[in-house]
Amino acid sequence: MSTSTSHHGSELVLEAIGKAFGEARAVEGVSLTVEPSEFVTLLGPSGSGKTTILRMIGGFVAPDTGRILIDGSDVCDVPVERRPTAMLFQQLSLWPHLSVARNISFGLELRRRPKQEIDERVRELLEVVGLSDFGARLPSQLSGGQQQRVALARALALEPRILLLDEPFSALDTKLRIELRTFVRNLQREVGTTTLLVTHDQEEALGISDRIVVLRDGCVEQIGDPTEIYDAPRTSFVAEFLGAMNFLRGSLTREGVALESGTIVPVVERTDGTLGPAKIGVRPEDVIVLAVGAEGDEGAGGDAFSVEQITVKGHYKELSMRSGDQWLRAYVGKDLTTHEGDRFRLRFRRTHLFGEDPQEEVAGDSVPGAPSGDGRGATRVAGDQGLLPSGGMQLR
Amino acid sequence: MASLLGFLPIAFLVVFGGIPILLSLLLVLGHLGGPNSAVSQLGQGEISGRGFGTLGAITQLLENKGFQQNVVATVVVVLVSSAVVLGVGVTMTVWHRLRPSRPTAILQFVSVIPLFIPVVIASFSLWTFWGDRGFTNSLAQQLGLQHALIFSGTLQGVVLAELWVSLPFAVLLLRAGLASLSDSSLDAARDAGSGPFTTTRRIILPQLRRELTVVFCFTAVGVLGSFTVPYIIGPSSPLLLGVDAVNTFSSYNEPQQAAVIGFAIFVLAAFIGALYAVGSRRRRVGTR
Amino acid sequence: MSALASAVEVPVARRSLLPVALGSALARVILFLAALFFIVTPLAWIVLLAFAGGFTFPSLKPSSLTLAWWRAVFTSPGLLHSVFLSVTIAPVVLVVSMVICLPAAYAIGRYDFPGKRFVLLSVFSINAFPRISLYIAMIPMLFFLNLMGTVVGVVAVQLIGTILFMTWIPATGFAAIPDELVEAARDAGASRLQVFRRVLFPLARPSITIAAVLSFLAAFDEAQGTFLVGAPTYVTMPIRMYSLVLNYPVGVSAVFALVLSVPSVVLLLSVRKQLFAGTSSAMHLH
Repeated sequence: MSTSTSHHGSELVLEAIGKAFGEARAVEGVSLTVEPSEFVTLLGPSGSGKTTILRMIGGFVAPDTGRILIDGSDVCDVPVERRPTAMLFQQLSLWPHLSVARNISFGLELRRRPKQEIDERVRELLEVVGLSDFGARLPSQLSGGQQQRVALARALALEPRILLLDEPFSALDTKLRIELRTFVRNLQREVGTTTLLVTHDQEEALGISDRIVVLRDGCVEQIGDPTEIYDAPRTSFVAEFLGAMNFLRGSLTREGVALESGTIVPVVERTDGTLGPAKIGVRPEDVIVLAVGAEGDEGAGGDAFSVEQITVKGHYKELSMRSGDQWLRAYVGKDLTTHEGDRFRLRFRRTHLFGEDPQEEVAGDSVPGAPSGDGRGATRVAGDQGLLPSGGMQLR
Repeated sequence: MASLLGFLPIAFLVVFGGIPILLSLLLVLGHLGGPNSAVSQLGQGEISGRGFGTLGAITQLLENKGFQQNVVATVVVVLVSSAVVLGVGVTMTVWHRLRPSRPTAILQFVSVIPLFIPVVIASFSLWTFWGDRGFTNSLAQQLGLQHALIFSGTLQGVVLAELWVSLPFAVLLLRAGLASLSDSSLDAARDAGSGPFTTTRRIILPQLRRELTVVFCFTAVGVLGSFTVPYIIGPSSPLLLGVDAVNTFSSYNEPQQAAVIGFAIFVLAAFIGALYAVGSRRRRVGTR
Repeated sequence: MSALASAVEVPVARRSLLPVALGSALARVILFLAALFFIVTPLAWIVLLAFAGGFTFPSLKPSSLTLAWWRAVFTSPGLLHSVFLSVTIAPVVLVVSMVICLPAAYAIGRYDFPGKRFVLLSVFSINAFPRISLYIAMIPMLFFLNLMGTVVGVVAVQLIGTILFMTWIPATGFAAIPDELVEAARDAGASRLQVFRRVLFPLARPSITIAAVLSFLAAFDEAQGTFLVGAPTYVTMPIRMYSLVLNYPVGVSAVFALVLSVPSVVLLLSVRKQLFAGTSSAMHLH
């Protein structure tokens, strides 16, 4: 790629920013540092404040509290028109009365760049986004995906230091969405602009981010890179939001967590000594099913779970299983033959410990050891750390 | 059956619209007999003609200095009023669209109030308000100005009154047009560095060509055909053509002349119609 | 210039030349007050005049409040006669309008027939013409039919202003009724008349109501045509307004103006939601 399309991104710092709309607090006490050229995703359900944060960075909304610093300077006095940010919107935002080329060149024309320079840049950008022959067309003649690519070209034309993406792929169909986001990510790597993406799609976040900020109700739940977030969720909200997660109720005793189904999940290390109700989280892919009486069954304890429903999902199957009133989902290989009513005992490859009270999430997590037979379980109840070393964990 | 019902209003329009226009045209061309004899008996100084007719009535009027002044005054007032209505309407609605706030929101509501007031009452209110002993002059007096801010009895007053009366329609229409512009396209313009004036000029107005044309043309035709407003608020000379026509008939008893003026108004309206046709053409593709 | 702006490589767009920022509170307040003054104060002035006693120029408020003007209006035979005329003629116009136009609206809304476009075009084009020209042009024929200075003539003239409302608005109302509802009724055994009475009419009633309100007001407030045709025999309220200011003190005119405005304000306020929606969509037709 030519050097004229590559430039560097700025550092972005959010210092405890907050915003309320009337009674509703949309964003509260959010702090974040984004390194230059980093790709950070703001992930959360609707109403989590992620779009509001993005719009505050772009200047469309002013924060009530806190500061926003770009390359160390407070931008609160800088209006939208003059911030070094560019936004890609969720809805189609091209100007329908201008051709694709005019859409891209608009910002450059405003800055009185010489015509030749503008033409050259537009041509370049169209090539970058793969729409070289589309310059003369009107937005109405383009598909949704093509329009977003033009919008991207338009944003890049201004050589922004920070690129803000507000769920730009959500209006597109799945295949296109994946294509486009990969494209954007690769482009971003080449060009080097600091980028923030807002999305509610966890797969998207896990797929392309350097780091993810998980938000709920305006507050930060966890910040980390995709692996961290997935393997070591700090709260049950984060655990549930990314990927599927089963929660099994039990109580924390001296030996471990005693599940209602009777099995006991050992906990090796605890910094927090409170016994009492607890929650174990285990991902469906970390559940190992063992037919009752099959080899290895002696190692698994507790009641068996019976299969209530089988859903074929292509390359794997999802089993909905039940023991008493404890439900659980497990992913098994597509070749496993099973029928409704079959009973299995379970082993867990990796589990996470959460307090029962959602307000006080304490996370325990473990690194997978050998999938079976290790016999050593360890869960450390952690404060703000990420991954903690420990052995595997299994039912006895 | 459906056709029959459907054509009832048409039948009415033919009888009370189409045929009258035809008869009136005949009168203008000098055919004073037949159906026109009743009205001709009333008239004075009529010009009659045989065969196809005569253009005498028309030429006589065109040569009249007073009429010429009236035509000029009418055209000026029509154009100025329409431009002012468009300008004020655009300012109010675009301002609210780009930078919404409590005051601009209240204004959207207030600007529609004139719709609820009959034109006669509006004209009377404005005439009294801006008149010799009206509020504005009283205010001026209090501020030490003598005999100022009087708009009643002037063409400026007519323009202001037409603005007052036509603003609601303009605001409603422009507001509807503005609503169809996506928020994100306007945000994107701002993001690209475009301030409110630039955004209005280069992004908003080009997309509103149809609405702008409709507002301008409908206002223009409305002002062109207005009688009540200029009658109550306007000066006694020059007259807007609507008032001229009515006076010619009622006061001077010259129905034929009145009819000619009526057609003059039609002709001017045709120009506005042409403007409308041009303005509401399908957009041509903007290329670079 | 902040450190931020100078650090940025991209040249920033030129600042607007206007000294007072458009978004500034001051500019907004100025515009707001100016518009408020322009639109609302003349009306408030009239209300004041209607109750003002002892108002001498150039004072801005009256020395006392009085109901004398109201008494004067309601005891003046001439003025009361105008009220009577307006109140009786407008409903007549409304009824005639409904008779002529509603069947057509029904036909246009629910059927396709040859000439339908022509009908719609004609109905719309009335409003595209300068109204006064139309009235002036009607004069020879009205003389011929001996309708000048008659009630029939006045009704005919006022009728013209109602045709568009009474045809087009109910037509959209009828057209908006989904065919499925009619089919379901027929399916259940309803006759055509019953279908009309129980399905079509009730569903179209809102738009008919709006059309009726607008038509009534168009007739009630109609001034110029009635002036040409009816004066000096039939002096309805609007026509009376023309000469009031010459013959009566301003207080009387103010009261009369308020009375004349009442139907308009009351009726339009009650249907304003549909009114705004209708106006916007009406104009989108073009």
